[in-house]
Amino acid sequence: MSRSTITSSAVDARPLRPPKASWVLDTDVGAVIGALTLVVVGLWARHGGVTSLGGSATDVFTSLASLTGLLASEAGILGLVLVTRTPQLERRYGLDRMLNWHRLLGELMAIFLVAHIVTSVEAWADPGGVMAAIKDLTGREPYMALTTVGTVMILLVTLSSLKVARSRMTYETWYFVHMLSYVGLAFSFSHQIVLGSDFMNDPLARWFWIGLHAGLIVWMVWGRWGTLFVSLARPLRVASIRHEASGVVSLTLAGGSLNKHRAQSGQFYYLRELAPGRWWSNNPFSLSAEPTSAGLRFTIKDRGDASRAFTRINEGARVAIEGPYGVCTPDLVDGEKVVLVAGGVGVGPVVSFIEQLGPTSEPVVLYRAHSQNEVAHEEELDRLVSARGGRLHILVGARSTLKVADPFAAEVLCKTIPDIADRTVVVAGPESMIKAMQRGARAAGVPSERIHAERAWW
Amino acid sequence: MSDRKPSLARQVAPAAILTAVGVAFVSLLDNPTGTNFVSLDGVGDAAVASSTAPVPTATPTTIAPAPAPAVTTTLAPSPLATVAPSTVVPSSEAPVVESTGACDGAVVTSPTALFRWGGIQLQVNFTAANAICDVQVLQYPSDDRKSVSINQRALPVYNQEAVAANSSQISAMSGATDSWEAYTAALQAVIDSRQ
Repeated sequence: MSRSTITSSAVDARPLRPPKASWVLDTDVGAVIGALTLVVVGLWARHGGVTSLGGSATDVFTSLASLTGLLASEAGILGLVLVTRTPQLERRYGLDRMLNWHRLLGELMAIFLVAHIVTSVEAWADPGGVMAAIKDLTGREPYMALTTVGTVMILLVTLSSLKVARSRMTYETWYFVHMLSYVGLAFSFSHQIVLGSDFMNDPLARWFWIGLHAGLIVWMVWGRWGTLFVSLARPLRVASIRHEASGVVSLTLAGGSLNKHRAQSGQFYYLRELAPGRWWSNNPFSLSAEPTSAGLRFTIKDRGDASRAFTRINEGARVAIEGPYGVCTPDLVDGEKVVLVAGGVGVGPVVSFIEQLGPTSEPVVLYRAHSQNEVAHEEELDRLVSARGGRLHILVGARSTLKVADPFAAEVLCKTIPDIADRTVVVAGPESMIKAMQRGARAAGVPSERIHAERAWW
Repeated sequence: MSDRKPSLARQVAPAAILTAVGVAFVSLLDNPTGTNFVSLDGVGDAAVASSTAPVPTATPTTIAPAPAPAVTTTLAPSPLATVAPSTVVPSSEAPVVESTGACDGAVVTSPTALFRWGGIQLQVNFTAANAICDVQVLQYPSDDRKSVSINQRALPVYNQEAVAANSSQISAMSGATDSWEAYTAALQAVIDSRQ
């Protein structure tokens, strides 16, 4: 088996051990979310929230303002837990999925937040009117000026994360706007304690709430910043650079700290070049070869943004890594036969994936690229696939020049891969291609739980 | 990998434990009157006791008697009402509106209007013509800074409005509507007792 194409010099190159399995179950996560919701809603009900719903309009709005405020906080807390990158959760669900849930929770929080603002103003508007209420709630009441600034920050973050806005921003701009949410949440915390009727009069509830937030801060600092610190303290070095295709290079990062490192094919890392003007830029890239003690290989395409700097990096440059993340690993297929679909630079994770498949796995690889000079790792793929008794189909060119209208339509897939319904499908590439392949594979008889997607990390 | 299917106990235990802890926590929480609605303490048996004597349990320093109280009426001499003077806010703290008119009529102590933040009790001075000439607050919720600040802001205004309106038809202040409900309920109880 030709395992090590990346470092022929290192004789002691051995595959890294896979990350330890997580003990977290879906039911555990459900229990925590359920219990937190129970406490939050119970707190509200216990403090008269339910009975108030039968009172005057002001009572109803006051009660709803408490409830929506509490639920917005809960969504925010759960959303923050997801970005602590806690290994136990990450190894169960994968960071990509957790970040997606984080986004959904963020949107949920924004909805609760807007409802909270509207109901609070209505509750306060009796009898001074809406304008007086707005004046009170944006400054006159204690801590409300701070809270108003915090709320504006949080809503700004939510707007910047909507797909429309997100696609017009560089990753870095979006990321630093996102940092505002920490400030926003901290700013709005005080008003919950001082003005929130559930906390200002009930010491037990107040200390629970303060404790919950303090615990979250410790968790964030320990989990998120701790891994950052470790990554900065032990950077790897660029050991070799190879030109793979037009605008595509592969980098191999190596260093002594890899000996104890655990990682698996199909996972991804955040890379940060430790160089002046570059250190603050942190971007995700997938492994493009089986990770070994001799090095981690990443295949990177110049997309005109931060990825460009990585395609022009110098040998010997120091790169801090955070990871590995992701659960789209060969463990998924568990001895089943597999169809691997690569789009563009998604070929990287596919190559690494095949390297960890057994010699009789007969993988079928569909590789879609815009043009022939963008095809990377062709030889390597060919060799890996034929060593395992599989087949490689490379489909090049704009859609209009293809022989079939839709290469991922069910009838095309069935014709190319007659046994597709018995296989597990793994897709790595741009979102549109993932969607097309998911549709086609389902129509061709592959059950949804056997279709796995790896979002394109540059 | 194909993890072995976890046992049923392993799946259910965390949910059961966390739910139990959550329920226990919620039941430990402060459960105030459980309502926003004002309840008047001690008017249940509607015993509007009138007496010519000053309120027997009242501390003379906190309840300033009017110059010549013709009649002092105490509503509802229930146990709670009689212990009320012990919770009376010292007169230096209680917002007091000095009346300008001659308060030569009855001095009536209201029942304590209980609402979710505590209780409000008033002492209302009348003129001989039975008009409200002065209102003093004997008791208001002062368990926490927020209640104190809301009430210290709102109650003097309500006192003035009550004298000006000579009724409980006064307008609520933004942010002090709960106190307003309790205040007007207490005031109305006094007015009702004078009819």
